[in-house]
Amino acid sequence: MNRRKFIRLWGSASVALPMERVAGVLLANRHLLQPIPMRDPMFHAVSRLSYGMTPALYQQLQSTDIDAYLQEQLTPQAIDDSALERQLLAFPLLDAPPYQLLDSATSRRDMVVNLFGGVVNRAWFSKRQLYERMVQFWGDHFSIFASDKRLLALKIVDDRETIRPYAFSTFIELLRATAHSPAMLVYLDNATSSKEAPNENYARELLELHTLGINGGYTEADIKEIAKAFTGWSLHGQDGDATLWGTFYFREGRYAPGTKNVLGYQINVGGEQDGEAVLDIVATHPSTARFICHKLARHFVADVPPDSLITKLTANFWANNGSIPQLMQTLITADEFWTAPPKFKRPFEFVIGMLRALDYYVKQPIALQNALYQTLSEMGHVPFQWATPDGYPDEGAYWINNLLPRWNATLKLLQATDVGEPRWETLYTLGEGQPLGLPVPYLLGRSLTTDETTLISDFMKSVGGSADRQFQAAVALLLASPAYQYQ
Amino acid sequence: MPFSRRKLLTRAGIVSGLMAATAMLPRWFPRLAFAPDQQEDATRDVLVVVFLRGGADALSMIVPHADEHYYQMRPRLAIPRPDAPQVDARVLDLDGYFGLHPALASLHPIFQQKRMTAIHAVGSPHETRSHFEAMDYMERGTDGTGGLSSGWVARHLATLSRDSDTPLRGVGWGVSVQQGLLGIPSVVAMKSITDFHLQGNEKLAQTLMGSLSDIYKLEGEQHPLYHSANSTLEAIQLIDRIRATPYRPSAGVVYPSTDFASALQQTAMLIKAQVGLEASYMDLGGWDTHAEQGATEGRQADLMRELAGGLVAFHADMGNLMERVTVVVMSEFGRRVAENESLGTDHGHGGMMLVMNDKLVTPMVTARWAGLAPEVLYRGEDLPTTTDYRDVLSEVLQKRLNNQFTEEVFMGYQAQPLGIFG
Repeated sequence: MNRRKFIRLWGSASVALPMERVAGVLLANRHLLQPIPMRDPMFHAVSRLSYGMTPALYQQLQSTDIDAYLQEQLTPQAIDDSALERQLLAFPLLDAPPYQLLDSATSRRDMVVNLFGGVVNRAWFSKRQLYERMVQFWGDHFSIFASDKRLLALKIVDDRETIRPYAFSTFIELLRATAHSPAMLVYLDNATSSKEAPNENYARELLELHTLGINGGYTEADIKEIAKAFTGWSLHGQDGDATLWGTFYFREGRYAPGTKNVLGYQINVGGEQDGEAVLDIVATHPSTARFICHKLARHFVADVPPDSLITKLTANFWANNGSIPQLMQTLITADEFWTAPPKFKRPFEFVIGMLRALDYYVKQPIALQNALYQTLSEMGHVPFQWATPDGYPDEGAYWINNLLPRWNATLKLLQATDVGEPRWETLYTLGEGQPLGLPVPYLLGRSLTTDETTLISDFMKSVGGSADRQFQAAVALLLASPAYQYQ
Repeated sequence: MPFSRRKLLTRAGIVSGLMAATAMLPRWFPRLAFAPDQQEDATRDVLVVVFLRGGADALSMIVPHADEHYYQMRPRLAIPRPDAPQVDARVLDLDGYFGLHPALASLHPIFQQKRMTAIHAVGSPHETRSHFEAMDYMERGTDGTGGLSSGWVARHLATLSRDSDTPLRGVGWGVSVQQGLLGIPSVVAMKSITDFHLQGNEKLAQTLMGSLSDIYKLEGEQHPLYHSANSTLEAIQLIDRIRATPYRPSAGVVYPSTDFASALQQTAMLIKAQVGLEASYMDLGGWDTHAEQGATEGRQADLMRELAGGLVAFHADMGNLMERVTVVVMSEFGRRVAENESLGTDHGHGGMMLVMNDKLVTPMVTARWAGLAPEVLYRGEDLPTTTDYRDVLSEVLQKRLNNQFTEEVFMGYQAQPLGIFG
């Protein structure tokens, strides 16, 4: 495991600062290894395993046990999500076949509106919140940059037919689906690879990013052999049967025959099956289980996840053949999850979380969607717009130096415009009986400290004006404050 | 608590005070707030780092046109020789052996004036062909054998000053501060100077700024989130003073409308505005040309045009100030010598660096060049790294940024200067 890489940003106890001149200035980050004090465990679980609290969920959890809620989340197919399904009818391209998406009659703009709209609405409104978080996680793990019209079209298909159907299945099934995904074949250039000079792009990232991890025990020779094994894995072009355009196609003529030596195995099944054999080998490699479990723990628990948790997850990975619901069950019931240190929210989680928390009332859906796209682009977190195949960073250090767009996103959402506005009445009600009349436990999962109370009270006084005005300004400060930046 | 504008202004005031105290120096020089343990003459350059993400194909940029193997191994991707007949575009010769890709033509005069130099077959001694590992090592300034989590530019700034009250010592252009600049408090990520302020109701924004400063401080003064908030708020105050006047580049200079050129233009603006900028760090991505790389035209040519367009505009805009600015262009590795079947190139080893500054004394291309014959290639297929990237960076730090602590910046590495600055 490339521990160095994981500690490089936040640092950890193992970051030595041998040089005195440097040591005085460089930041120490050890305090981040402490759990968030005083936080309601229910709030903690919702914060990590969903896109954030809503008034309805808050009310539900006052009477429902959090464990019951989480068990329900672990079987998403049993949760009724028909309200969301109806909303998604506004995005018909999400159901379009590849040949229609690839056709020049389908505009880039329409595809962006549909793809982005689908992601935002699902995160915001789905009742299968944990499932949607897993979809996001795997979408990052098998990241595709929807850079041009073709990849935009194929990413719509990838999201629908690769990530979403397998996000809650087993790792090997998911991996197999991504390897066949035309979006992946194009993005990592396997689609144009052939026997004369195989393209190594997919082979390298398959090992480094999708399965074994950078120090997972492979060589440059393994990469070359895997590149050979995947020769021929491609997609249908526009010629021939028009309805097949953009679907998986094995091009026999580009296939490099012969034995491939991969990670100590000899592969000689022939044709398309060579690639399948590689997937079997890498999916069951010991490094893969640990690499995947590390990433899961990092995403849901801590930037520097405890080894004890990774060990538990890895054992579970082996015992259940990489079953994703089983892994999540293990993670959710682990002590390490419940005592997790603060995890900095990434912009997408931050923005969707605010919409949910504010019970945001939408007047003009498309205008709001455009505004959200703009906001996320200022923060650098528009879904499927990360250029490199490693996916959006999942460590706080990458995101913390860009606070201004967050503060501005808060200010923008709190202003009533003809695009939409928060449902203030709901928030007023949630604040009733609380110190300063503010819904702090609802927004932050804890009470204010004495220092915070004094500070916010002073702030409300200097804002002045009506009680509503002061309340709304205080909510702005709370959402822009450090406490709300953590999930 | 009332809005603490006073406090923020006081901090900005310290900067102004120092500027006044060093008034005998040209006013745009970067100011170092505190450097008590050094003989400081405050004549160091502003450092501009341009990172070409994805592993730029050095052989297409600084083309070894006199090397026969280059043409043998790149039957479709090679750039025609400077004297090639009947072609639309060809290499622009630099020194009889190497030359520039035609998409870099606008840099040719700058090379000829000795204001730009290329270092070839340069890179990391580490053998990795992983983008992420290679970038990580290079930006942290290590050879891959461990080391600190901070970036080399951050450590450069740290070795020069224990404390600084300039919120804009380092700016990372884009949505996040680059790894090379991470690790000291006074850096911010920025996309646009014009937009660098709190939006909405101005009075509320002003009140909010004071309270934000206070509420982030409750995290503790050592907390990175506090540093980030504090730098941001101070930068907003500082930029507020210069934002009112729209930036006008020097006469006749028009920057291309790309994010990259915009980062350079805004760097020029901050340098001329004397806000204490010491390091500006920016990216130009998209160099991972596994497929359809193109030769004289195509994907990589477009990127080179974007690179050259930005650099040329910046060079012209800075004018005489280029004597006090050093631009370093680098990438995580070069690409395979032989082209692949997708009309692209796979990950390789040795690459190239560019250095732009008006005080160069070096030849146009510096390279310990062993040729491209299969037997001299690294692992039989890659350009060998015959110059360590830290040799180049150390020389820039020593000669242009007055930093004698390069061994500390590069964690014990003893650099061998190339003599590009004499």
